[in-house]
Amino acid sequence: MQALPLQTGSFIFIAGYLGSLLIIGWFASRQRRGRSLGDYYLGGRGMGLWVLMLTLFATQYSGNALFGFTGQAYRVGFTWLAILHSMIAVVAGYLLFAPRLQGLSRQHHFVTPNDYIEYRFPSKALSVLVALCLMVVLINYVLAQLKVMGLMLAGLSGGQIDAFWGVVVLAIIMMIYSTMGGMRSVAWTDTIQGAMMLMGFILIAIIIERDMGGWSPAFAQLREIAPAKLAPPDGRGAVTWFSTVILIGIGASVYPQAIQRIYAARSIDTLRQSLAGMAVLPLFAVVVVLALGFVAIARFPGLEGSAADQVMAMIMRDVLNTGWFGHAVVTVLLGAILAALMSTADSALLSLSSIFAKDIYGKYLRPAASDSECARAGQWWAWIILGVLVWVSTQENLTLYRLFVLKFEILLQIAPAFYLGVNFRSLRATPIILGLVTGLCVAVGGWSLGWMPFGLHPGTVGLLCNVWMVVSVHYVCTFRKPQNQRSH
Amino acid sequence: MTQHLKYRGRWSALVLLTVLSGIPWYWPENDFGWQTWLVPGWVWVTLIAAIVLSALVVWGALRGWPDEPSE
Repeated sequence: MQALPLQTGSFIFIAGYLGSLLIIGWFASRQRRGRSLGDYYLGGRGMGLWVLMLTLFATQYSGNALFGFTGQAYRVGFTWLAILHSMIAVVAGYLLFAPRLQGLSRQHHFVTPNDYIEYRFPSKALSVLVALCLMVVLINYVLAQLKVMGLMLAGLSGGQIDAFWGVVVLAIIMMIYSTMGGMRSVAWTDTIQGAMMLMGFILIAIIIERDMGGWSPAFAQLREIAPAKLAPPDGRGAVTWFSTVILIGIGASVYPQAIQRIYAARSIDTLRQSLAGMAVLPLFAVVVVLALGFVAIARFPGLEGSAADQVMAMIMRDVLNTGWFGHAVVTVLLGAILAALMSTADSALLSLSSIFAKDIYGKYLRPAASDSECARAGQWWAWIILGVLVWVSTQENLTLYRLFVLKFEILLQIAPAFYLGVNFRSLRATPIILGLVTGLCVAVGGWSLGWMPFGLHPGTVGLLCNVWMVVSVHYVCTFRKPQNQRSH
Repeated sequence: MTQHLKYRGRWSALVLLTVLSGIPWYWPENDFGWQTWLVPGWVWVTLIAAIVLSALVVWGALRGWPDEPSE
């Protein structure tokens, strides 16, 4: 990645932004009411419309949305419009279970996604299995964000900032404000970060028109140099498109950190209005990011593989050379990228901390522990796991999109427990456990072998097997019982 | 079929149909079709499907399911 010749003003802006996160964390810590896990991990269940919408937005749109989506649009061309449908489908997925789940969480004081699983399917095996899957996904999620942070700091500063120490400093800032105020500080900083990301998306639209010659000349050039990237998908490509919508649409709707935001909503109406806003945002945010990737095909032809993930940085370098306005634009865009990375990583870390505190420490390691002791254990766990992940993030060598897909392969298999559990009252734990195990074997096995039958992702095939197993075992169990037990 | 499944089922079918209509599986291969502002016709169809999908989700979110109480 080429270095950005940043000036002192840019560093002061970024430092001011990072400082404001710490101030918000301190302020949030003063707003805490009591020492309960619900107050620490769900911000007292009082999230209003704007905070909820912006925290969902900032959590859902990670660093991958800026680097990965642009890179993938560059690599595959217009068929990556599949991601636009997918990001709207995520909200459709929420509507099928989130409002009911929110009502249940108020009645039964859920804190982690696993609290619902335990309430709905009282099975220790299922609860442990789901907790492990969620932790693997969250670790993957944080790792992906740290990896992009390292990539960005190393590349964009051109050696002015050491990648490892840069990631360490950002991780420490993130952990300080998360530890101080829990969900309150994460959601409040997400609000600032979400607003900054929206500003970043607006600036990208301006960059395309002002600095890259606009859409039309770029598309004319694109037609000349890479017509294949303008072509509609073939039969297999169309199946992969549909599979992507299922994979991301259903998978992302059961992000543990998103489920905790559902619990944290002030009311069902607040949740519904926030989701309505979330359904509109992709029409702007995703479209401009994809357009940037498409325009970059014409501007920087010939990039292959993971090199395409750097187009955003290459564009920023071009814009930086256009004078003071370009400098200001790139500085704000850098802030938006940092915001996207940190808001996703802090939410995932807080979720990871809550799952350890409530589902592992408070249940199996020290069942007699008080809420504040569990919260402290969760905070220590988050610090330790973050330390390990910072180190691992400098060792791995996967492209961003591959990391992005892996977590969905697993998340998708947990989805039936929420979707079917909320909507089918007669469903029991055994079909869900068998379905989850079958789905995980197919999805993870298929992913490691690079298997994509008919263009379907292994996770989607796993989900089909998972649901088939749930339905089959459910009906076998139901019909084996006498009529009176069934009605009971 | 219980009431709540009927409401969600109909809405889910509409969402699925919109997603399927947005995927250009019916478009001839290597044919960009008509174009407006140099953007191929199939891309416009996909974008319109995305707008319809978004509207459908907003409608579902704001209207709510009749079997669920609002506050």
